[in-house]
Amino acid sequence: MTAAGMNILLGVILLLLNLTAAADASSQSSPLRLGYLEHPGSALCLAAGSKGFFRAEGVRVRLVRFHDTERGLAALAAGGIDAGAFAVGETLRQIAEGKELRIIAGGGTARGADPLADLDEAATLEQESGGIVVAVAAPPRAPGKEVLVRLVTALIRAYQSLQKEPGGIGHGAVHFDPNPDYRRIERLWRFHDLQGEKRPRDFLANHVYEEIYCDALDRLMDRTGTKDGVLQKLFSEAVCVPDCCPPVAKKRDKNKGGSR
Amino acid sequence: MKVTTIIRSTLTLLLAVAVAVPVFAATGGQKLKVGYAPGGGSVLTFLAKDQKLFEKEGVEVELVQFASSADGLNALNSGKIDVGISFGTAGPLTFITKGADFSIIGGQLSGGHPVIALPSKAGKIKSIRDFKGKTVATPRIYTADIVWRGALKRAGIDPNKDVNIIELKNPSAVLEAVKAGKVDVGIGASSILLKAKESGVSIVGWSNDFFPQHPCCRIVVKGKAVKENPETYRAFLRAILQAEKIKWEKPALAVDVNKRYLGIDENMAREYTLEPHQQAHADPNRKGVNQMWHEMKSIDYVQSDLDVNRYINVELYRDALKELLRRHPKDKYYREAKKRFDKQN
Repeated sequence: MTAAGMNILLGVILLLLNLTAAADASSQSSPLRLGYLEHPGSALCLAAGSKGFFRAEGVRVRLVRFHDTERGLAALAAGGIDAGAFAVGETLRQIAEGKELRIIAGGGTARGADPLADLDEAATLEQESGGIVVAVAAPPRAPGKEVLVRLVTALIRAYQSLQKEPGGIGHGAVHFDPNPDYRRIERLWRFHDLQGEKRPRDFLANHVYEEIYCDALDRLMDRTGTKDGVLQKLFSEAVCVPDCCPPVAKKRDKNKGGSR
Repeated sequence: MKVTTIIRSTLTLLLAVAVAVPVFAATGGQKLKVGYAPGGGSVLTFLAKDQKLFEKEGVEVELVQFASSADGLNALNSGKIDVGISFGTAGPLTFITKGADFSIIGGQLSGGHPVIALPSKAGKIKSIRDFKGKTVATPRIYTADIVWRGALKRAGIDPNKDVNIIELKNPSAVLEAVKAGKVDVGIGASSILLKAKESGVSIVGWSNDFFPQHPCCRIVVKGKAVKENPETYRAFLRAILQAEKIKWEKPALAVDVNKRYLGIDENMAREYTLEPHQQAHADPNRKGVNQMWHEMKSIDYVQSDLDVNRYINVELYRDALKELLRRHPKDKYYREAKKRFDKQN
């Protein structure tokens, strides 16, 4: 085969691979059911829906409202919803009890009105426990990796959008961060004394799926590079595993399903 | 056929069986799934596979390719593979801070990341102190980034105040920023070396200048697996050490193997395999990993009170080298490897 012929063949294969990846998300037989708590920290989910970011990322989402985290997590466990934005403290307690959940993104945490409260670590951590994280069921029940990356990409775009609205909700009494932020979650895990003596040291790490967030951030960085200050700040704060010897032909966005 | 020939053949066969059986018995003929990323850090393992050195040492190796270090390390952590060979140093250490039962038992690659600038700006960077006041593009958290920031701190330069750092997502983006003249200098990586040279960008230094023999790709396994079956991993390392010697003796063969296993062209294979700043050694380099660990902490990439030495096993490599020296007591290459081991561990 000639070099030109090889190039055409390669092009066709790449196109088919891309179409397959796209099909994974667009061929959702039914919309992804995203539960959310009646809490200002859920605003990223609502904004991603109302501003059309889910649609723009090619993922169909149906928002399902919950009045409390317990019922939301019960629905997630029972397969009534596919993902949920619920209180991190209760989510961690249920993980410690053995529920097969994976945290894939962050959300909003209410800030205290009293600035002195920030000096009290216990009070701060208690407050943070009421903040929102996005969780899914563990594989194989979780939606495919490509769908989750698109979902989180839309949440990051919602965050960018809120940050760029002067005086909007992104600058108010709720602190938003789409990063699942293992370090922050680990502090809460220790604060609530959930590790126990017999649990493996990496138990919590195996329930915080940061790769989804890293892939979503990676995708947005590809689109805007360093031109977006909000995105650049998120990138500078993320702890994503680097490649030692970057691949010959890097293809990070391969759909590998919920691989963890 | 002469009787002597028959006797000689029979004896040779018996000898071969006698040598092979204990090796298989010791390792249990265990199969190892070895994960790698398709970059330049896997040549020793490719050579060992290609030259049937694993079989010779009584271990069966299946290579498994991953798109990224994160995918590979997750697979190792969840037991889908047994060994990771080209997933860096920072990646495994990050997993260790999160509780992963990883053990670094050897190395694959050290050094070799270029520092790049446009020819018109190349003369301005001669030492680490020359970075002060410059605008520098760096691929965030890549090995070269950690090594460079560590060197800045040691030189008394505050990376947050004295340098205008532009953090980019990968070395290709750094090369583009340098080419476009948006920055004075870029912290690159081995993967862009060929492209940088082809596009007329100057190499003004190397990561080796900031941290000689700095570790890059390490051989990582599960700590529990090593405790349960140390001989399998000793056998694996013996094969890798022999591959290291072959690479030194027959560099053209190493180029050919990299070319075939990575599916890349001759030029790229030569660049990946023969660049003198990239050194392929199986030595775990405990001291180097320790330094990387402390530099990662000093730039606040990891926050941990762990004793990293608990996650570095140098005994397996020591034993593997000892066995090869027992077999070949006068071999200069293995004697040199022993000196390196004593110095680095």
